[in-house]
Amino acid sequence: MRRIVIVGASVAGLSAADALREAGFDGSIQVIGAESHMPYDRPPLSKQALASTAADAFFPLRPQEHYATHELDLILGRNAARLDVAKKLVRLDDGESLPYDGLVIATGCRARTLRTSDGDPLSVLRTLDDARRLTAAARQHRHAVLVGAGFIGLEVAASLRKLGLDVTVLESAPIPLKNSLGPELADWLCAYHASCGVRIEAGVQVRAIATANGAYEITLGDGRRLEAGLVLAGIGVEPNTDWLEGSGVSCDAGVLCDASGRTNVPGVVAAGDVANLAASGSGGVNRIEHWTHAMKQGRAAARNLILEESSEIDVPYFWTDQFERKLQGYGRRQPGDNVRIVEGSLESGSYLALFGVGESFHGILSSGRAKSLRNYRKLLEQGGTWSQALAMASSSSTAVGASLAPA
Amino acid sequence: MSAQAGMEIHVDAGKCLAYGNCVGLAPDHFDLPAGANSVVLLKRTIAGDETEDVDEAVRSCPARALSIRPAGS
Repeated sequence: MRRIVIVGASVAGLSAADALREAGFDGSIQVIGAESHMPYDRPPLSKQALASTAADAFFPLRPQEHYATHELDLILGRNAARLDVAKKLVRLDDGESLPYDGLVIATGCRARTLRTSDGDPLSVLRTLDDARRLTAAARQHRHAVLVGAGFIGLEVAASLRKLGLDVTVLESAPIPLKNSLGPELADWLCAYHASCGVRIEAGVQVRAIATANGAYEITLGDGRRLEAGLVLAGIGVEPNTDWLEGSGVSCDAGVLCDASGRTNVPGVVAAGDVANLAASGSGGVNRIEHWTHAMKQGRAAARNLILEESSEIDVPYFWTDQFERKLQGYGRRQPGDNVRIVEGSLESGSYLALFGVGESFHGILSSGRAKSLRNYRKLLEQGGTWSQALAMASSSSTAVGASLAPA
Repeated sequence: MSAQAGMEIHVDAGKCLAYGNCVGLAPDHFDLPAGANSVVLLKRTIAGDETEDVDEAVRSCPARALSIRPAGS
């Protein structure tokens, strides 16, 4: 294998490139990025970028010299338009064709759009350009309405509130983030936001969004109307797989692959947000859209490509900054899980919560107790049980053990 | 550079964005006191059985604020 093409210049793509060089691959590596910016990191876009007074705040994924020292050929501002697996060619949108021996698909996801009554797309936050527009808008308007109360939407709500805007978050589900946090912790997070001045309206439908005189008028399902100068849609993402249509690479809500990124086509691996790991599990959609997963799976996919090495699905990890609270979680809460606070308390805002049901231990969430996470992460990696998790909690000196009612 | 016993951890406080991923992965080495803008290095040295966690912490820093260097460099 002499020529590897990586489509996608974000965390998964660049982690793959680095892992190839670390493993001694000395052939050519071409990395295609759809955006014209040098590769940048996304986590700050909903946090530091919005708080920054610099209109051109930029968070590079790698130091400038990294690309030259690692001999990475960056092709920026161009999209992959088509894939021909028989001829092993990636066709770019300007007509250029790149031959490959190995291909890494790391095209990520794009934000789902919501349109006004006139058909104009509402602002979203996914890219650096989105963040720069939002930063500028946040300094022009006093009222913001966010449609969708996901973690990133709530991070944006916190960032805008800190800038002094009046912020309302609309969520169609009765309890925002219930699937990720369970009802008890979701209620806690909403109450925390409320205490910081964010208005979260859950269980409401957006019937229509109109524009008039440079502002938006939002009509809710119950007929109420809200006005805001700034409206942002945060209603989920779609995997960027359009360019793979008809290529023979199996896609279904992402590129179907296993933990090592292996797709149905030899020599083609996928990693990061675009990867649907359902192929290696119980079926359905299993896109793990988290930073560290993109990093690890990018590395694993690269090693699989050149060394045919296999790896296991990692325990998913995410973090989010919500005002002054840092939430960090390993594993995934499952529907119907019980939650047990084993350190701290919801009232104090500093706690460690376990998720599980019966003997199954599914996940852990820390708010300000990151130092306690390590042993539980290792237990999750080993497939440890609920009893073992509780035993771990009671052996730690600070354990309290307040049990909350099941969902 | 991968972690090996005898090597040392360096934190670039100017790059740190206080995400705290390293604290969850290697709590014997890193701490993020409430309200701090940058992670605090508790222990610079790396023992033989700590290399995996420290490597993971270095790689899991989106801000690339952590690095591993030969001791004394």
